[in-house]
Amino acid sequence: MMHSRKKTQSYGVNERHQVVWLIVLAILMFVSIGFPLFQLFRKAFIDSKTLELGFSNFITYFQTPSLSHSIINTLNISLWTTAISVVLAFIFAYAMARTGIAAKPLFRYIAMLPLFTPTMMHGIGLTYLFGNQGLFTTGFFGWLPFSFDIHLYGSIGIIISEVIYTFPQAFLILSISLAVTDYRMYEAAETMGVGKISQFFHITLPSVKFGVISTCFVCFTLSFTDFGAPKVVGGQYNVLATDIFKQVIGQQNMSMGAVVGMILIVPSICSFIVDRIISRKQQGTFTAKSTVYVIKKSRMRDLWLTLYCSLISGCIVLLFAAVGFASMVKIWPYNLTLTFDHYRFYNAAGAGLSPFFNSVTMSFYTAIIGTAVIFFIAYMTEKIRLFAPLRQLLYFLAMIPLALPGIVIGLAFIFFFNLPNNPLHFIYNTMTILVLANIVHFFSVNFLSATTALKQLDKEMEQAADSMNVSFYRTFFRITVPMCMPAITGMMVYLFVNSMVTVSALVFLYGTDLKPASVAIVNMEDAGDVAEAAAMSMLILLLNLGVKGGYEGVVALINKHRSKRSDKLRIKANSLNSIKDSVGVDAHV
Amino acid sequence: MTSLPYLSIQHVTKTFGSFTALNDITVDVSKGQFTCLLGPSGCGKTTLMRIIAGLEQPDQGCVIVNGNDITSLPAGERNVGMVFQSYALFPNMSASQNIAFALKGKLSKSEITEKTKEMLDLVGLTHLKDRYPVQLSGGQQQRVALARAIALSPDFLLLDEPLSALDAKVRHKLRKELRELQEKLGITTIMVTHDQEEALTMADQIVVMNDAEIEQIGSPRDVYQVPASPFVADFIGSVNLIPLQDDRVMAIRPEYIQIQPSQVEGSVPAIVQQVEFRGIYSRVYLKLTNQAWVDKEVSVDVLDHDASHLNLARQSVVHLLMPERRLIHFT
Amino acid sequence: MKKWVSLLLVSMMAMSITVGCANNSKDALNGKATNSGEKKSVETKNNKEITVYTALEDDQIQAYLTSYSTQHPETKVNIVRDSTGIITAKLLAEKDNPVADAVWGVAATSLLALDKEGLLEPYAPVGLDRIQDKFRDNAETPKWVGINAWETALVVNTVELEKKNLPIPTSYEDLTKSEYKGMIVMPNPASSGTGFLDVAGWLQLMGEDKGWAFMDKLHENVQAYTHSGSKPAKMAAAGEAVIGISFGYRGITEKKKGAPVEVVFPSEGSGWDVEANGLIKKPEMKEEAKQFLDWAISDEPMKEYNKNYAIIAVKGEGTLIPEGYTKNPLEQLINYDLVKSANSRDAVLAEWSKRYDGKSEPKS
Repeated sequence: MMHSRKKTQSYGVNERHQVVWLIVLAILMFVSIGFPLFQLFRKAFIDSKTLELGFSNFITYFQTPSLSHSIINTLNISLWTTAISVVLAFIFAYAMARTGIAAKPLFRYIAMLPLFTPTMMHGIGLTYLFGNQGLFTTGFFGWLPFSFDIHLYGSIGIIISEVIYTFPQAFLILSISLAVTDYRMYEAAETMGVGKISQFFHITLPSVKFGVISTCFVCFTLSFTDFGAPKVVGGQYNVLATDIFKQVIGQQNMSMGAVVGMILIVPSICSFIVDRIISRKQQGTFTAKSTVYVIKKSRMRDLWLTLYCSLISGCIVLLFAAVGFASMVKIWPYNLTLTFDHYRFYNAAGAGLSPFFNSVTMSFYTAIIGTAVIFFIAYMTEKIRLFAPLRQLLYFLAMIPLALPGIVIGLAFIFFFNLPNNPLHFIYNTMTILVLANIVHFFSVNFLSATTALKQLDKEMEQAADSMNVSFYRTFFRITVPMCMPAITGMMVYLFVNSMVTVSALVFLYGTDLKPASVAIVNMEDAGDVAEAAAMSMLILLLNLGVKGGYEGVVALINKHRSKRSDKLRIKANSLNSIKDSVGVDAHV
Repeated sequence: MTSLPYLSIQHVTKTFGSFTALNDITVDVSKGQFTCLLGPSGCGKTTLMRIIAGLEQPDQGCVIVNGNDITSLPAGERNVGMVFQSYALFPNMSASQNIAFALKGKLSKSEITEKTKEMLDLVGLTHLKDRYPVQLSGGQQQRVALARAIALSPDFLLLDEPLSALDAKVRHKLRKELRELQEKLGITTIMVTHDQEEALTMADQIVVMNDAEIEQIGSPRDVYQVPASPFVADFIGSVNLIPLQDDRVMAIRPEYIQIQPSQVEGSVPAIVQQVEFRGIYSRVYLKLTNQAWVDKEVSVDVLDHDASHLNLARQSVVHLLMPERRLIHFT
Repeated sequence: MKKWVSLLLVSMMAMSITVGCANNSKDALNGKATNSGEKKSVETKNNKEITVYTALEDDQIQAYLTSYSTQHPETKVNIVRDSTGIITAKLLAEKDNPVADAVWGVAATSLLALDKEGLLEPYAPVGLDRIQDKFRDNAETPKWVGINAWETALVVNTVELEKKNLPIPTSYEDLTKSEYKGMIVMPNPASSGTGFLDVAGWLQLMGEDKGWAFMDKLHENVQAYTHSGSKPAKMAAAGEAVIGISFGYRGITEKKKGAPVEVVFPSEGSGWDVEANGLIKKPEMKEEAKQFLDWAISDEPMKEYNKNYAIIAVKGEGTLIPEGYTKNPLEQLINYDLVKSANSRDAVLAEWSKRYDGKSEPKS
């Protein structure tokens, strides 16, 4: 046939730019994700002495009882944490979603508090409550006739800390699962005379099944890889995350560190796979015709759940109040005079307030650059018409960090960027590597929320602009970005807050004078300057609350302003936000 | 007027994986003509339009405009105006900003203002120019999208199911307006639709597609009265398909069958099954009872005025007359 | 063509954002003038800069460095401070590509370990003759020169002991008594220099077998092994522990701050180590690093060291005995072979880890 030859479309200006960008982005992502990971694998699988490829490092690891015992310890911690956290969070989320209790927003805000602090703070709070000189252990310094000692240091302390850490995350996922339901099923059950309890087991539980599974995995993974809490309240109870720290920082034993890193990835990978399967299965459980859950009156139920939520919220508030109080007393527990001395940090193993400002600078850069890069990459994978293989590669690379605990990213980064012949060696010990590590650490979560926001935009808008011969930069900046503003600002806040609290990746990477606040907390705690560590935690908490609160305020203002223009827009912005929140859940692994 | 066609699609084939969307499609469109691509969903009509727009690339074949092969030209350089099914208006821009968006950088500032004003005038939306898309009705949005598409003075206009999202009243009104506008501008237009009535009322030329292939190309009158295949006959309007011996099929539209109270020459007996009142006419469903077509169902449209003279009670026997000149034979 | 240029521009802009970030952080760094608090160095054009690794206490470094920055305002000192074990491990890890120019106030046993790896360059700082032989490398051009010594001390919380009606322990032997079960905190020798001198001190004082037997018993009473040598003192001060095995200076500062603690120098004598300086061998060794080492043993800093440590390295009778110290600090020190300790460091740490690390919770 005459016309059988396939003609390839010659690239227009847009396409040429796009393909160059895709290649640039792919290279960027290989450099910051692919290559470091490869180095980590190399370190783990190449014998440090004989330089042979194989499992010799793993054999050494499993033959060292003091190391391999940590696996059992860590599993123990994670299983308990998961069980407790999921149950507590489920009841809490149920109370928020399906009952008529009062003060829901207050409860919700309090439940979210632990998200805004480094995990060390939970541990520090616990030492002030349940440590040897804790409020409860001493019976409020002897004012109360009774006291009790829970023997905090060790597995008990770690489990409580991890429950506090994972509770808000579990609560968020479960809230979303409980929010998405079809009330028609309950109405059908009512008409068939099915009892309330039976309804709970036959309708409610099955409908949140996937949410619960995914919550379990998130809790398990988070507590499996957390470093902060075991560092503070772990005592002699070794877990993998503290092992990795001891091996790498304490003994500079990189191969063992890499082996532990490999073990730490395992649950994240499982979690990742399960999550993918679930998200595929979950599609279609909620249709446009579904009706919203109607809360029926029940005084007994509301009374009990109000009590429950007050108890949980009370515990969280008490914990943070204890840290706040302890950071302001002279010498706990012997001299309870109030003072702001600890906030001057002049005596502490940090470097005054500079770690705090380092963290602010770092978080600011992470928020700005991270959001820009992540959103642009999401745009390029989602909204470009051509170059499917390149885009899929980019998507694949973008999803990898979801399975990487921060501590593993930190490790992989030292291995890769500290290679003497790496031309990028110069970023070692600079702010750049800290920002890069944070961006990689929080990449996938934000990438997913950006993708979700982009998917909600009409696909034809880009094509319309394309067919009108508009430069894709203009389309991007004039249409896509403004339309996704709620998601974009949400990403910024997320990145800022999480960069302020994260410690895992940074603990390996901070340079001479760029110690972040979270690392300073670890160092101060290490040196025994617990009050200063508490003070620094409070500063982080307050700043984060300020940032988040300010953001919410601005959003509320904008929505109010916009409601004049149209209600529809606001609804769209809100739904984007809630999606963002929902995706932001399986956050800082 | 046997000059070269303005737009010529030649032997275009397109597959997505194992699915063939277009199979060796050849269509010619002359300048200023309004062409409808008509067919059921999945027939490939939208893919064909996207190939013309440059949003998809054919596996084989070429697209020729004014004698130039544009097959490998990127979308932005083809100078087409396109109205998308969702309109794809930019929600963060007002109506006039939407129209001006694509003009920036191509025209001077004053020219843009001028052009935007002209376009708003043309579609009659000057009074709503500062409204955002969510504040406009579906029909108004559609007109903004149209104004935006033609603002760049494109060589041809592509409309992807532009009326499908509107309710019936607005749709009928816009059909007329759209056609008037097209004639006024004299712009070569191709519209994708699955609505046969839309195609019949608006088009100069209808391209009926099914299953990745073209069934028929012709004027509305042609495709209605002389359908090239049972598919076309059935897809456009209603039709009774009656199998004949040796695999041949005979077709006749319901309005051409006459109902007689008693047997006349050439009539066939039938039993009334059901009567649907449809306003000006009624549709009568019947079962044939003669030997050759026993139990074959046919439908007949009878003017309401005539129906009152006939006994169309259920199970009553009537006689149908199918005029020879109205019969269409397929082989 | 024009479009390609614009593309180039865009990518350059993207690059400049990242690089700009790096630059800004450097500026921030200079502006902050590190831990040393020297603001003048920002303006210096020669950009003389040295990196010094140290295990000295955070709260001391600043005071020490003031005299350096007045004498050498043109040199900017980047201080990297961490626990002894970590500084040592860091230096060893970086041996192919050393970052540090000099080490300052790092345990002599650690410097000996560094020397074994060929990391130290012999250098005789100005004023070397003033340093006591015991506190410096014996070679004529020494590889390490001490500034002060520090020693094991028990920091005991008297309030908690009273509550429990227990006597203040006065010796190592006391620590193994069962009444102190779960009350003792000591530093982990793998990360802490103090922890190592405790362990190495016991092994030399009591001999290998008895030393380990002692630690086995002690382990029964230990509540936790900490990362740093200061922490046991601070935990005792806060009542989180009752007895902290730490070092003299830290106990005394906690007491000065008002914590209810007593500093006990055990009757058997104290294990000790020297905080010493050395020059790192690298392709280009800076004059400023040598200058820094000269300064580090000069009078002014010595005076400062003496505020915190009873035992400083310079000869002479007139050294002050800081408040809180026993009268004869030198006599409190046990007979201790630094070189022997350094040589057995790896083996001792391995054995210690095998015995006491990674055990599950202490049965407190």
